[in-house]
Amino acid sequence: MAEMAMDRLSNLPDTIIHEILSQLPTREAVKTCVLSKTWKYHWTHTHALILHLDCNFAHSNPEYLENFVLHVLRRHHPLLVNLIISHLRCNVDMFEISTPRLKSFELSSDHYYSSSPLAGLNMENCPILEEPRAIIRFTNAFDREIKLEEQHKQQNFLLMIRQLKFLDINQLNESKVKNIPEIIDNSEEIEFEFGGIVLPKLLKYETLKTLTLKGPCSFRILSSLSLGFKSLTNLKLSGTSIEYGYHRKKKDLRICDLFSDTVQLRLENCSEEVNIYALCGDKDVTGIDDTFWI
Amino acid sequence: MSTPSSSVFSYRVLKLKSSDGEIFEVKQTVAVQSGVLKQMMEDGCTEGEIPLNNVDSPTLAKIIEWCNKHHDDDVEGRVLSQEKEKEKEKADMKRWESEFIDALNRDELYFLLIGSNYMNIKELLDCAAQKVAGMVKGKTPEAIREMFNIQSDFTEEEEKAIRKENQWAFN
Repeated sequence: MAEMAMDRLSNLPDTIIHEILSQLPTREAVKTCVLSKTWKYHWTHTHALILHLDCNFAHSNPEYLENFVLHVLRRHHPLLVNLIISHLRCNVDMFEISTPRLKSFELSSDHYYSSSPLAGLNMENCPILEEPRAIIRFTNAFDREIKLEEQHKQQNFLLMIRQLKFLDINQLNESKVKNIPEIIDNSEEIEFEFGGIVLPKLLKYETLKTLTLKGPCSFRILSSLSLGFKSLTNLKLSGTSIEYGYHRKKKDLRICDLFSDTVQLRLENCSEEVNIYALCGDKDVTGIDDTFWI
Repeated sequence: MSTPSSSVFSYRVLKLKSSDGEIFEVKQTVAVQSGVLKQMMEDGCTEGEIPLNNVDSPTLAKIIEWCNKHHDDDVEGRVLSQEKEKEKEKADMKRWESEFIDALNRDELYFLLIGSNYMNIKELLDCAAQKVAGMVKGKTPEAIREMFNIQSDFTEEEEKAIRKENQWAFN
């Protein structure tokens, strides 16, 4: 009888308890915090943290949710590998994530309920995101600033990311994108949607294969002739007005140093006429306008 | 007697000694699934009996049964020719694993968790942890406490406070 009453689960080594909790959905793992005092923080050691913040009470209590997310991220153990936060309704200045094993990170916020999307992100100490298979996806996440710490520059932080999608970036402008060129410079696929975005100049874009620009806002591609889309095979523009900084009145897009033979240009529902110039080195290759529709 | 590290590989069988003193013989190629034994083989210290102080004989027997089943037979020249066959093999293994785990009583499962963690056998630990997670899943904290005899040492106010702090999960 005495043996029956033993609480063996609580007495398991911590590492085993964390393995067990890692097999549960995040919500269920968090719930174990009330079992007893020893269980209070076990859930903060799981490998994956998937926070779908879309429950109903959030509408009436956004402040709580904001504090909860910050509190979770502050508390959560550095073993975290996979982080997904959806329907974020945060209005904080800086979001800090410091998880050295993080391999996958998705963040999205909700247009309709947040007064303002996330202001900034500080991803200090997440070196594993350098790995080729790392996934980062931001949807409607940033308002003012993306800040990646100086130290990552030295470690080629994020240089290896293959796929990077910034969807719904709200009015992000060049002066406020700090260090983001390093992210973009070695990506193979970039997608921007619903945001005024200025592609940073002086980048080589050498590995970029697919560039997708979507949405009603204007994308301004700077007049820098140093843009070189050497690997670009796919350019998709839809619902977009293109503004090329060099000739402000004339809406045109000039792509330089285009070496690939089979570039697919697809323009869908662009609000204004767009002239496309493709330059191979110094040689002007015009006349491709007819091959696509606007 | 000198034991240069290269001679380690001539020991084909390891002698594992459970906490209650029983000796189990295990082929090296099977034992390699344990991170701890693998390390010992690489370090060349597997001569004689290897004491496993955290694992009793019924548990060690179970662990060896698991490892024998998961032992990669390809070493002995058996080649799976068809993709289909491989898939079937995989499905069979999954079924075997769940039957193996489901057949354990609560005590056996507990000691298997401890043993597989101690011997660092990742797949077995995952499988056993998954079983426990399945027992916890979908239950209220009250039901989990009852199931595992967990005594809450929170005061009413403390529990209220922590529920409030993690309100998201309880909503």
